[in-house]
Amino acid sequence: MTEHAPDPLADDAFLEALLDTLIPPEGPMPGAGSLGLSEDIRTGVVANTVLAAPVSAALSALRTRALEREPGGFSALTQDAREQLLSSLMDEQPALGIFQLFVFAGYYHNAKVLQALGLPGVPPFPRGHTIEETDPALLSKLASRRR
Amino acid sequence: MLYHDRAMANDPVDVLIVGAGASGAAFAWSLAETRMNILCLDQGGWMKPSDYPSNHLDYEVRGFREFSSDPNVRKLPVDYPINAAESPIAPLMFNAVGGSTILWAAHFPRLEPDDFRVRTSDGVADDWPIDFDTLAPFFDVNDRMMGVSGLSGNPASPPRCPPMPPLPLGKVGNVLARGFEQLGWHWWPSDAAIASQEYEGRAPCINLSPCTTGCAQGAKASTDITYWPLAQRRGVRIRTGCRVREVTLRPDGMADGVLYYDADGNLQQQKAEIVVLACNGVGTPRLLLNSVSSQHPNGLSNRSDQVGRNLMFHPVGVTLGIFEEELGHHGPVGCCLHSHEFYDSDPSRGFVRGYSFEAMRGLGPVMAAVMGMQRGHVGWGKRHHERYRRLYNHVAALLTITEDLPDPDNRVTLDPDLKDGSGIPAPKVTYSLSENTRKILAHGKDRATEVLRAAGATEVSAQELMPSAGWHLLGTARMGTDPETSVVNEWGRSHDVKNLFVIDGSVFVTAGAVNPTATIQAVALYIADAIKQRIDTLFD
Ligand SMILES: Cc1cc2nc3c(=O)[nH]c(=O)nc-3n(C[C@H](O)[C@H](O)[C@H](O)COP(=O)(O)OP(=O)(O)OC[C@H]3O[C@@H](n4cnc5c(N)ncnc54)[C@H](O)[C@@H]3O)c2cc1C
Repeated sequence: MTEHAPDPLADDAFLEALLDTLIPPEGPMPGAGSLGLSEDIRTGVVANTVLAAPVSAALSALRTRALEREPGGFSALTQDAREQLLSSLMDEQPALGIFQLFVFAGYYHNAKVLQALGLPGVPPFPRGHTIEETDPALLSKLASRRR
Repeated sequence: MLYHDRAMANDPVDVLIVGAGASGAAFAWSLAETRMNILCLDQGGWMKPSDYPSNHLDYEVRGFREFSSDPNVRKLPVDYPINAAESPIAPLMFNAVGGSTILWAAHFPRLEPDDFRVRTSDGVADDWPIDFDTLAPFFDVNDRMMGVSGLSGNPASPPRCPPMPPLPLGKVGNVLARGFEQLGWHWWPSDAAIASQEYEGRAPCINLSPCTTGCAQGAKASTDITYWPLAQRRGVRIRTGCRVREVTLRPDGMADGVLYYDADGNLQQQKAEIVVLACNGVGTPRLLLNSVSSQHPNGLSNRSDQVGRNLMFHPVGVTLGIFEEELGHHGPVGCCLHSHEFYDSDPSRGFVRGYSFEAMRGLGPVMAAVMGMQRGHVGWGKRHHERYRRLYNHVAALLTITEDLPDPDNRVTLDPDLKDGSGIPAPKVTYSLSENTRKILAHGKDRATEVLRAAGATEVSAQELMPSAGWHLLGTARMGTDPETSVVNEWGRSHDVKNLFVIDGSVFVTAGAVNPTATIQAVALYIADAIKQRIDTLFD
């Protein structure tokens, strides 16, 4: 699909560039565009009967504005230029903020991202987690106050 | 996700309970020792722990969808919609065997003795017709049945001996406790209905974290795994996928059962000698208001016009501290430590009654991003990771849980248009915060900020009222000795219909400022006991 496809949510090149703009790669943290999240995000947005239309409209507006600046579209812009364009549209298109929520939610449950955060990258069950025991100094303070 | 059993005959029963949640389960187990023929109907089904989100990597995301505590978001076929447009707080619940305890955080404080006599102490609201001492033995039974972990000796509350040692505080708790210590303010490890060690066939907590989307480990006490198996062994039957439309009456005005839609959508009738409502503080008034007849044109048991009124939620404020040190985010989300430093009335504060603090553990990876974005801590673009790193694993929060005095205009009514999947009128919730509550929330925010700063937070931000915090549904069919001003008497029997009982949080006269379920269940056990004591004169 190209940046000229009618539905911005079906435009992989555009979406990946947008995802990488929202969450770019840095050190061990992958960029959101490199994780193959587009399909999941698309499904999530489309399934939301209330939000799908405004999100899609906001993405269309962004894509159109990018094409006005650069014939190659959003993905052909530099990171700085993409950020600038996105910022300039955020107030006008509040649904871009909603799209951002979908991206954040998709990114932060991806196994590679969780591993980069130092987590095992597996579901919590059945492994579980260990947490710090209660500080014995605190417990002895409580002991003196017990009734 | 929900598993229904089908094909059971509607033979008349002695006792019919509607609602298999926290109160229905406790009541059924207790009454079962009478060997009466007891049946419970619930619109939901049995949950399977392997379906809970913590079996999946996207567990946090599922909590925004099919495991959301908001039925208007979840929209499962077993749910009913709620018109909450006129409430700043969304009513939350879950519909299944186990009811809302499937999703609850299992923080398990009890109302304090003074909470039962608010009128006497502060000249506001009403006193309960029963007191703490009446409930004391039932609180203890319930602690054993639910399996409570905690530390005895809390100087702010009456003596309590939890059957298991407390859960570890974790880094978050240790750090927050130091803040309270520095200010010289009361704090104590939370009593939690979560097993800290093997307990009655339940495995101990392994800090999965997302307690509020169901416990795959089975360490958290949801009543489908505590009371219900024991009640069933005593002969109680549960019929799932049954949505009760109305309570029906005999010509003499006594209840004779219910009409319900079964899992296939067929209208059925179930006859019973005694009808018991345990549908929670929204579901119970809804059912009563839907039970209209020529004898009860304004809804059943509503001659006092009190059904649905006096809805209490416990408005909640959240204050979040960001710390330099790593705090982690694992562990039972709501069960860490609490404080009753500001629980009692103090006229110098400019409001009556008070509030409790509850510590919340940090935010999981998705929540840190989403909540961070909503509160302006985490943005997008080149600085995203830097700002996210400051938040993720570096957060501790305090909830301010306020006393919520009854107001007849805060109420559950029937929506004229909205209906559930069976065509039954849905509830509408109308609620506004009183000036007193606003003052409590503001005070709580300032004091929480002090604690977080004393504990070492470098940045503090507050949300004075959490909109998605209608966890506690109370007061909408209150108990009292006067039939003019209350719906049920002091042992849960309807003033108007002598074989109809209400046993859930609807009967609360006032709400206190703590999570209510330990008290809801103690009340349900107490009503079951009252029925057992009066079995020969029950309808007099
Ligand atoms: C996310 C969350 C966190 C919570 N955390 C805590 C906590 O930490 N501590 C605490 O004390 N409390 C907590 N609570 C509140 C606690 O879960 C409730 O107080 C408690 O479950 C109420 O018990 P109940 O029996 O009144 O109702 P519920 O447990 O809500 O059960 C009601 C049952 O009735 C059924 N029902 C309703 N209407 C009908 C009908 N017409 N026909 C058939 N069946 C019907 C429902 O399907 C449901 O199963 C929390 C709640 C939520 C949602």
